[in-house]
Amino acid sequence: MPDLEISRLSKSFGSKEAVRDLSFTVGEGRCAGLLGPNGAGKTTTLLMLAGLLAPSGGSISFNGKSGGDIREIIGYLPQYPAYPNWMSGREFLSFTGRLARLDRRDAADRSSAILERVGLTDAADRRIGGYSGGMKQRLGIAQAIIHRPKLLLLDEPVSALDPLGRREVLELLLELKKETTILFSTHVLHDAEAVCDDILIIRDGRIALGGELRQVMREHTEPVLTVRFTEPRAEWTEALAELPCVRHADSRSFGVVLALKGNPEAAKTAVLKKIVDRAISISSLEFGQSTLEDLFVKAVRP
Amino acid sequence: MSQWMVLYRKEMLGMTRSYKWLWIPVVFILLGVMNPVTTAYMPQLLEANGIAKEVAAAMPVPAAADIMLKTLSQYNTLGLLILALSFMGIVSGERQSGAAVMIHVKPVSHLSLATAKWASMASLALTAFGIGYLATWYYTDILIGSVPPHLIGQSLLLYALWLLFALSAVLMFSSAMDSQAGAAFLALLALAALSLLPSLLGRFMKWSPGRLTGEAGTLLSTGSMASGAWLPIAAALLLTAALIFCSSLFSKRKAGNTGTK
Repeated sequence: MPDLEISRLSKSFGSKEAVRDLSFTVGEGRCAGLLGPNGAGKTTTLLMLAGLLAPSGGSISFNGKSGGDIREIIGYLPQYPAYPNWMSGREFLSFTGRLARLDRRDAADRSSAILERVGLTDAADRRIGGYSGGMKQRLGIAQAIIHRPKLLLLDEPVSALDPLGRREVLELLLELKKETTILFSTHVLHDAEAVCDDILIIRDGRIALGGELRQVMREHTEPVLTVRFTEPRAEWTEALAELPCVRHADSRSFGVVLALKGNPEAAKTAVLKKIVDRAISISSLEFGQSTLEDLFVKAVRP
Repeated sequence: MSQWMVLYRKEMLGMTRSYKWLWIPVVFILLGVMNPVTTAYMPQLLEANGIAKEVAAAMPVPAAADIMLKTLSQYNTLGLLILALSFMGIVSGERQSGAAVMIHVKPVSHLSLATAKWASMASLALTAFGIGYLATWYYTDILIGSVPPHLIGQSLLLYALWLLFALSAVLMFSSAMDSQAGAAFLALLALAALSLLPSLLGRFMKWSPGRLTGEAGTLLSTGSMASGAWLPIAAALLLTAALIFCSSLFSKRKAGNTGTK
């Protein structure tokens, strides 16, 4: 059953169409990743879902209801969260909790519990002005979940963090996934792969590819053979690319990445044979599957 | 209602933490009290600066009501400038930094946000003005002469109404514009126009809330209100409400500006 349903959503700023005819659904309790290159319309889409930007066209419905104020049941984290710097983390959290119609006691209790959860207990009573980027990001997630939202919208929750902060936030997302529906945008594909159930790749404001992550990967990934040469030689690349079992050859600085077709075993043998025949000097040979990154590049490349 | 109080208290706390609750009342007190004090000690001041005693003695001593009038006109220039400068970023500052988004994503109506901000500005400005004006009255009473309390009360109310209107103009420009300095400039320009135009285009500007300062002055010097005073009073009340409403519309239209674009 679709929880969040977006149909033919569009938004233009003057003559520029940031989002056009975007349609997708996110099922209840799913975690969906909105992927796309910079400028693809991810932030604009999330702003419209959060009710901060009026769409130029199309509809957004949540649990079958469209229109009305859905802000009570959503939590939103902007790409660059900013705060009144003179407030302490705890003050800010109970302030936002109260705005989301929690009563005073509930807001205070939830604030303490959530500060603990995002690891800000020690800094809770310090001014936000003195927080680091990672702490501000975690406080941003805290304010997004303070009122137990049914839908969590996160705009680039991990992109600005260092590896440690990123891992903390991803672990938090994995936990939150159990409680609420999540839609988050990112251009870090590895992170999307780690936490998402569904992915939506958008390009120029449209869905280029979308669906359940595992299924998309199954349908669209292909066996690849990564051949590293001891020295780069164009004629070696050409020789391998010419093989009938190679669907596509991607020349890299270290050698070549071959996308195979037909029977993988036969293809492997054919490539190896060619290497021996042409006396190609290789340093390594790796057989594997194309990654989400390859898929992404293929989907968004014009 | 409780949500509105949360917004109002947050604004008040912000003003306290930035020491506005300290220095704005202090400025209003100094600005006002300076008048009776310098007037009363003028002969001594002149003498100390080497000016003959006879000249000093010949200086006319103004009436107590005139001192209060002069204070009001100073509040109208320096006082308004200070209020406009300290509140010019009340909406646009939060929007520019991106902090406003955090409030707009919660189920908060733009009207309650605008009214809470206006109420917090009004609390501070009216407190500062009230304390400053009463302190001036106290010193005038000791040093120069008495002014009847009912005239002080009525002129205080008239001028307070003008201040409320002025604050709503600052709030509106701060919501409508992205530049803080621009908002302060336009608000002061509009207030100056409303104060000055009635004397130039008397017939067409009888409604101008800018006339409230003049009405307060008339009240102080003649002891009674001019008959046409109800018009600027009604206009001030109406326009204040209208400007706050406009402010909420502007902040709604600009809610999606996250400060990064």
